[in-house]
Amino acid sequence: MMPEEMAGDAKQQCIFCHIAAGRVASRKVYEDDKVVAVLDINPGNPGHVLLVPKEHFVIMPQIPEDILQHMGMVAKGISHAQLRALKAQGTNIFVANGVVAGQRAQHFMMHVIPRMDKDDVGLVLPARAMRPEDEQQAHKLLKKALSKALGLKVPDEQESHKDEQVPHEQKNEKAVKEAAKERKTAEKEPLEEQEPAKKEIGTKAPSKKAGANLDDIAKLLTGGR
Amino acid sequence: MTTCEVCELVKDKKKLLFEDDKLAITLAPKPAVAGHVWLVPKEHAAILEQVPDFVTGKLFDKANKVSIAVFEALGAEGTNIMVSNGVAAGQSTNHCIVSVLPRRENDGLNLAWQPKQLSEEEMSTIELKLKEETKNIGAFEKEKPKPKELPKPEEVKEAEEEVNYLLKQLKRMP
Repeated sequence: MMPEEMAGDAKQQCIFCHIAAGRVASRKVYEDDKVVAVLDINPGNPGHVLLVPKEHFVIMPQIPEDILQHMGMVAKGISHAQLRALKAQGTNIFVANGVVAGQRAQHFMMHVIPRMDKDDVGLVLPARAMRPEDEQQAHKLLKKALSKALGLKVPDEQESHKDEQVPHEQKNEKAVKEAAKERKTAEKEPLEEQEPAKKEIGTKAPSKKAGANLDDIAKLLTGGR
Repeated sequence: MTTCEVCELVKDKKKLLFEDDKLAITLAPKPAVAGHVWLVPKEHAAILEQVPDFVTGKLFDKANKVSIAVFEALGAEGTNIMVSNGVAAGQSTNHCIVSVLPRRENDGLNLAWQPKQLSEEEMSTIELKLKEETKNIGAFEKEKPKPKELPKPEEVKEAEEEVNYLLKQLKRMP
């Protein structure tokens, strides 16, 4: 089967794609062109909302920036609505990426959960102490990987003070270069560029960005389909 | 105003993994799991409601990038992204935080909740109440374009003129 066909198959079986398209009954509390928010039928607390993108994505790394930013803003709006409409005393916004993180559906979602004092929802983060050497190691590894994920220049191994002063120029240079590149490609092949770019959003782009292990995580959810 | 430990952490810069003009990313000082990362708005905001919409959007977008980095750098098998908004929701700092938690099997963290059973009637009431409020979602606050640098020299001129005027007044005095 071609990857596109597999994606189509997953979509056909995805309950949240059906909900987004209105083919399955749900209690929608918000909808726009990009997202839909429904009441969870198994709520952690009354008023628990599931916010899903209309397009089918299994995990967060597959989602384009603009949709994710939009979801963040809508989640904030829903949180606000819960505080006002349900007299909630707090809210949790919760995302689970992967089975070990508690993800069950094969469609990415954000939970927005209204909270009351001393309810039994849980979602408490313990505070643990970390050994300084472990923290340093995690800092080093994460800084490198995060710079890569953000498309920045990967910082050098020696973290000198020079590093702290230079980034602005580097960023600017990079931004200028990228802008120039974009302009070039846009001028050269405006028509050919558009088609493949669209397809990539769903299938190819995430694996390129995040390596094979993310595909594995997505596969665990979809049962390898 | 009392000092905010998160603002101090951002100012200190030592533990930061990334910062731009709107937000900072840092390792959590007291992590729930190894590699627990905080994303915080730089401008002090106690709860999410006080964070401008476009900054909220950026926080979630960057949380995704952190999540990708966590998969790669720490070999996590999953990630949770979590905002605890308000004391009732488990917020423990006076500054809004988006947490990214690297997850592994048997890591000792349990973030699952017990589902509650609600009657159809209760669900309908909640649906109606929420719909009424979500009508207001949509006009998202955008980043204001930076003010051009024109006003500054004008202000200086005005001030100078004022001084001159005052001097004149002084000179006029008998």
